Amino acid sequence: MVDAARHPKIDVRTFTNVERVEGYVGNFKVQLREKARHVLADRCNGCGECSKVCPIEVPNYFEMNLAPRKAAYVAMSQSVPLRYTIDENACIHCYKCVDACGALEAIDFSQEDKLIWEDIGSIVVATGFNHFDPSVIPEYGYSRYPNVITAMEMERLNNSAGPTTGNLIRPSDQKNPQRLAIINCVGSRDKRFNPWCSNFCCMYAIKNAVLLKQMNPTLEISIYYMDIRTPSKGYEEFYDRARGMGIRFIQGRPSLITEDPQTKNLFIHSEDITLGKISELEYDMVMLNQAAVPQPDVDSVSSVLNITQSPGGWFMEYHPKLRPVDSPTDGIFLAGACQGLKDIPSSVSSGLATASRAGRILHSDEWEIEPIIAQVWEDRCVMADGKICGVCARACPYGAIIIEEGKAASVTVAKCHGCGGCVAECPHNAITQMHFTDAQVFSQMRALLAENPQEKIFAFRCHWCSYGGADLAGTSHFDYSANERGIRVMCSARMDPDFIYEAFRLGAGAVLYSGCHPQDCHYITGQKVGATRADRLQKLFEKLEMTPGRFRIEWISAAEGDKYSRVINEMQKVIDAIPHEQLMTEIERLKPEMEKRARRMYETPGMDKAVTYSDAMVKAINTKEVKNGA
Amino acid sequence: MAEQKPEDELRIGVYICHCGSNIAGVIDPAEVAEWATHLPGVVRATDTLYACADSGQTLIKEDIKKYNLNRVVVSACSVRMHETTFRAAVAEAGLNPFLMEMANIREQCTWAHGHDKEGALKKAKDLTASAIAKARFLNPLTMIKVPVTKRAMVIGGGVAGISAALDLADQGIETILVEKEPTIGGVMAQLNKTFPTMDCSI
Amino acid sequence: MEHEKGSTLRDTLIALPGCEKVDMCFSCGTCVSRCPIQQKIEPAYNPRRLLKMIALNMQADSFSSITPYLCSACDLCFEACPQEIHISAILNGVKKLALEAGFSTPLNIAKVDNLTCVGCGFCEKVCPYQAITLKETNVPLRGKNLLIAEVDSGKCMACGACSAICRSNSIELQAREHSEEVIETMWSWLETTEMSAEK
Repeated sequence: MVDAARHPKIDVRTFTNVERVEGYVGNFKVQLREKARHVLADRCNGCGECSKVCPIEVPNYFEMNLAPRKAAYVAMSQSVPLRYTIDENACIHCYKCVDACGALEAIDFSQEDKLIWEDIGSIVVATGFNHFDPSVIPEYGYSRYPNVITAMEMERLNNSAGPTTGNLIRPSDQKNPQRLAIINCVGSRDKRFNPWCSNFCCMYAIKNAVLLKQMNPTLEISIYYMDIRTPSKGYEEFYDRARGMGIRFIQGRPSLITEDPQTKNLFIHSEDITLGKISELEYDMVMLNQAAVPQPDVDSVSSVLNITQSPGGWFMEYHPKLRPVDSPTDGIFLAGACQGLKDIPSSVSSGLATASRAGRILHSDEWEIEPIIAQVWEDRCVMADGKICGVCARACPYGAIIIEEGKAASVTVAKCHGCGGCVAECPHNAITQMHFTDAQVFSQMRALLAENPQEKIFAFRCHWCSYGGADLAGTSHFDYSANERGIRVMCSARMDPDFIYEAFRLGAGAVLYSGCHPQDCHYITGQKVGATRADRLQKLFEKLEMTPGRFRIEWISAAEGDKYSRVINEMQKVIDAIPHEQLMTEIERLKPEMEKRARRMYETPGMDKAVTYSDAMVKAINTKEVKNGA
Repeated sequence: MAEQKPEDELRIGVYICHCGSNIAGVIDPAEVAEWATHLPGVVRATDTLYACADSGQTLIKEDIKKYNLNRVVVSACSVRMHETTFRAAVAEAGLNPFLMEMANIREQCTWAHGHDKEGALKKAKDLTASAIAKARFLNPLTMIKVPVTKRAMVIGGGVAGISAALDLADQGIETILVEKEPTIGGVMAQLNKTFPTMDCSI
Repeated sequence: MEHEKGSTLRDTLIALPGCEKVDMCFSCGTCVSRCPIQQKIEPAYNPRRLLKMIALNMQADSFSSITPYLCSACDLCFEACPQEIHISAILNGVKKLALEAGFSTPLNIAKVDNLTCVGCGFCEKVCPYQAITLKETNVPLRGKNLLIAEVDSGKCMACGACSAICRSNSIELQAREHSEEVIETMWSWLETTEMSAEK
């Protein structure tokens, strides 16, 4: 901690929130909100005179609210930086602190939150985790029984820097307990609350037991556990050491804690599963080893940084094995427990790993990004003819398109992120996207729908989420109908209405329009552009009396493999439920309308060649099949 | 303008990966390869045990020269897995990396349709044909080079954030460490001793 | 102990409604220590062990176990189960399969004397387990057919409520020994626990 504050290259900004992140790898712009401390950081010397005279006491979050702090406070004596803060919500404005500060003049009540923009090349996200509140588990009685405490409360109660200077006492009568129970997996491995294993709690229980036993060898300690997980180096040996010290390990998850109202002693009801016997044992004090959960503000952090979440609320890595500290966004990395629970050694390792990953970028003078940007066909843009348009500029989440009267729209290369929203939105098909041109997508669709198109479920998926979701469905072996045929574009914003019309014109049985959830979008508002369009298409198909379910909109994240598989299987059922004749009649009935609507796509450059090539491709596929079938 | 592809004869090479039994356990890659030889523009189609392995990459690189290929299609795993690998491989053989296209016949085919081998085979063929069709219209592109601001930001001042910040700073990179609370340290600072060595947390 | 091949028990059971999560049990013992029956009525009652036997396809052991027959479906264990396993549904499923397989209930369940039953239906009303229904016979009575009580052996828990209420002494039920004492103990136990205090 102190090393970080002293390092000449590190600028520590405490009491500061991240408000907005813009830009891209190598060129991020981050807006910080420096909250008002009402203390001038450069003048405060940490003497603490202000705190001494402050008349207000409130619970100290750092001591798990077991001890008070003043309204003028530092959380702990080793605070880094050692600068006092005046708690706006608690302060009564008596200004005694101002007098106590005297000539230093470090206190400034006129201070307000400051918004600061910083230019940043690479970002490491290390927002950590939070503690589960066990008061929602009624059978353990936390918050009703004074002598049932959490692990973090125990941590402060046996800490020499804590409120009792390390003397473990029971809250009910301030006596030293003689019989202590530790219950593991409180809110973890419990589908009612959090299904996951919180990773470090087994070791954590053993650590506290060993520590307490060392301080007071007569203290009887029992640990209730379901499984003891000690997979890292030296951990099993540590578990051995605890057993050797006489700490009791009882296998079986307690189902109930009751309290003796007189003595405030506690009874733990459990089945000792190794003996197959019910036990009801009396203790002076119980420590609940609570689960670790995501930070409460995880949703807002993910939307500020555009990072997807895995189930449960942990930030999603690019690849679980091969790129475990990369976020899906180039230049943003994930360290520590925010990506998934880690103990201290693993958190340090992942922190160091991100430094290496970010270092690759930050030591380079230039960084390469994929050239899948938008380009305008100037001769097709109506702005060049003096007409009013600008649809493309409105669709762009980055303000990368410049519109000037009398001139064709133009794309600022450095600002374009390649979502393709403008390409699909342009009513005159005057924009194309490199690597995802109309001709390319059209040729792919023709190949995929060459035979028996009425049997096919045609899925448009965005690269970052739904394509990842389809990958995860496969990785997890969630079987789904093999009639699915997918096309990947970068964002649902690129899913041109022409593509959907074309898919139905080609006779697809069903079409899936899928992308990320709105808060996960890799292109800020790309998903919104796609979603608005999809809703419009849905209404149109309703008007055209298409069988409901043949066109489906679903937002599927890269973590939702099960959902991808379920959606495809449901769509298969929709197709199966329509009698063949009826489906073919419907496809034929809608064909002219679809053809009319998709016609503009055929006018774009390169489409003539795409049609010729696709005809040859379809012919090759079909004749070859005949040969195989014979 | 976008349409700048070379007008010379189209020569596509197609590689169907076995991925051990991951793909070959469900479908026959050789059958897909044989089938692909009949598609327009394909001059070379073959199966390979592991396309991503050295041997697979060497095969592709040698074929590019031997058959004078100007497009490469790899039917294997997800683009999220190996697109960079194969782009690099074709680039080493002198082909523009954007003239390589992948078909995902593992995650999105054999792994998801193990119950329906016939369906999986049809789908693998279609996905390969689709990648060939896209490859036909691929254009050579060059990566865009952007400048790099040599400053890092670490969000969160717990043990992971502090480690990252110290290491970045030791590399000589100016680093901003942002923490929402008045002190850095996170959960670790609240702990007594830490396992398994029982040393002090701060 | 036997390990039967063919995995019939687990496969059959998992297809029954409510029994889908039978594999999810990780033997934490919460259900057993939460159960009032295990502690106050029958020490051999152990749903955790039964779930393990199902997972190992120990069919004969499972079917002859007393556990499925004693469960009163109070679902205290379901509320407390960290794996959200509907244990009473599984016990009920095992009981159903056991009876179908020709195993008979070890409980002294209610037996109706068809000759004396007048079909008043009081027993149907008091049965807490919906184990009694009135069945129409072909004996005419006042312009209708006579109804008589019928006991579903799978549902009857041998509590004796029907026998106590029957006005024609048509239900024979040899209740378990000390049943009144047991019921009283159960009530007092329930009252001392936190859960009942809260309710």
